[in-house]
This record gives sequence, C-alpha cells and structure tokens, in this order.
Amino acid sequence: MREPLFIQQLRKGNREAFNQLVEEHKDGVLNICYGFVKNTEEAEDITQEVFVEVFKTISKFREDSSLFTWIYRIAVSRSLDAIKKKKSIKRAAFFEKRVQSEVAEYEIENTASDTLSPDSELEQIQQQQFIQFSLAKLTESQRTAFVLSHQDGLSYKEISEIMGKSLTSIESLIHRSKQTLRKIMEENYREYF
Amino acid sequence: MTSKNNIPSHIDALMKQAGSSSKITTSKNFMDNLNSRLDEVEQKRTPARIFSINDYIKYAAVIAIVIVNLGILFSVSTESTTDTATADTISQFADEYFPEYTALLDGEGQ
Repeated sequence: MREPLFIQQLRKGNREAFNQLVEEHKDGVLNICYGFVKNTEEAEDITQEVFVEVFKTISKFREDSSLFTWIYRIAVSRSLDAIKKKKSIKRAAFFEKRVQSEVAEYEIENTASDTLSPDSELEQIQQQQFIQFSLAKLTESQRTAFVLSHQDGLSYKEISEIMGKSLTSIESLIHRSKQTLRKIMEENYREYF
Repeated sequence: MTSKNNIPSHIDALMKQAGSSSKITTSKNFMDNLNSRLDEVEQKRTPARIFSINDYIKYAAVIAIVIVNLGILFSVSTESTTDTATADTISQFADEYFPEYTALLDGEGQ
C-alpha cells in the first residue's frame, strides 16, 4: 500500500504529492459539497477550502482512518458549516431561492434537450425547487447520510467512517432519511403542484 | 412524464430525482486557484526576515559580541581585585566602633 509513504511526502509539504492527492479527490469532494449546497460555484469554493485545510493540517492526521475518509469528513463538515453560516445571517430564505433558481438553471442547462418545451422547463424548475425545499427540511445527520448515500462509489461502511457512526446506525439513518423525505414531500406536495 | 394526478407515483419519481447525484467536475482554473491559495499558506508559514545579512557579517557580529562580553568580564574581575582599599576602610571603622570584635579577630590571628 502506498499510503504511508505518500502521507509522509504530504507531511513534508511535497506539492507534487499534494497535487496528485487533489487530482484524485477533487471531483469526489466537489460532488459531496454540491450535494449539500446545491450551487456549483459555492461547492467549488468549499472544495478549495477543504484542500487548503488538508494541506495545513496534514501533520495532525493521526492515520486512525484512511486519508480518503479524513478528507471526505472535512468536506462534510465544511459543507455543513457553509449551510449554518448562511442560516445564521438570516439569509436562508433568500439563499434557498437563489440556490433553487441556480439549481434549476444548472439542471436545465445540463439535462434539458433542445426540444424541451417551456412547460416542461417550468415543471423541471418546480420539481427542483420542491426537492431542495424537502431536503432542507431534513435534520443535519439525515441530510448528510442521504447526500453521502447517493454519492457514486461510497459504501455504507465508508459513510459510517466519514460520519463517525456505526454501520447499523448509518443503515437506519439512511432508511429514516428516505422515509422523512417522503413524508415531507407528501405533506408539502400541494403547495408546489 | 409522470402524471401529477397520481401523487404517490410522482413522489416516487421526485424521490428518485432527489437521490440522483448530478455529477459535476471542477472548473479549468481550479488547480491554479488552489495553488495560489497554497502559496499564500506556505508564505505565512515561513518566518519573516527582519533584515538579511551575509554569513561573514553574521560571524563578525558574533565575534564582536563575544569580545565585548569578555571585555566586560575582565574589567569586572580587575575591579574586584582592587577592593583591598575598601576592606582597609572597613577595618579602620571596625577598630573605632567595634573594638571588642577587632580584639577577638586579633586573638584568633595570634
């Protein structure tokens, strides 16, 4: 396994090794951050902060988890901080609207075909807004579990390591997050459609 | 398209959509931006130099400081050897004010 040697290089401040680490994990970290903040630019900014923090604190990395788990844990923590920061400055409503419209724009740009009618576009925007509203209603741990469980290639074991919870509690947390999300959707469905 | 008349099936579709992660990638200048941020971190880590002098001047300064210190030590030690005059003055006043003490000292001397 190359990790101990690689970590040694990182601790020495080897920029080449660090760039290699960034190249390997930047998209994974970005997608996790995006899963929380649902804004491409903000997710990228948080991703940068994550790697700056990794660079600064690699000497404190105790190797009781894998490097990958440690980085993803920082990503989750930074994303949650970003959400809290937004809420604390009482701009949540504005932020949600802005995010929702940006998400909708992004989704349309990336998924909609040229043949999509204005009605369908509007419906997609509505759906995205509804999904964002519902996700925002989940608790912090439910949202984290839900976001991580839908990341490509992340196993329940890895999620449990990232969240620092047992495998069984992660399984039930993911199950509950889906149940709660569905309940929220059912309760608020009429307001959106 | 999912029919909204059938709410449970529409919610099923929305749940699926909420879970589907739209794969995004970093922008082209991500690495450049990150590297400039890391450069700043590295710059902060390096201790700031107040002034820069070459090695010869450093050695000369150390030698000069050593010479000055030795000079001070030497002058202090020579001053302490010339303290006999002070001792004489003390014994002179001791004779005057403490004759018994000086007699005792004289007795010990004999």
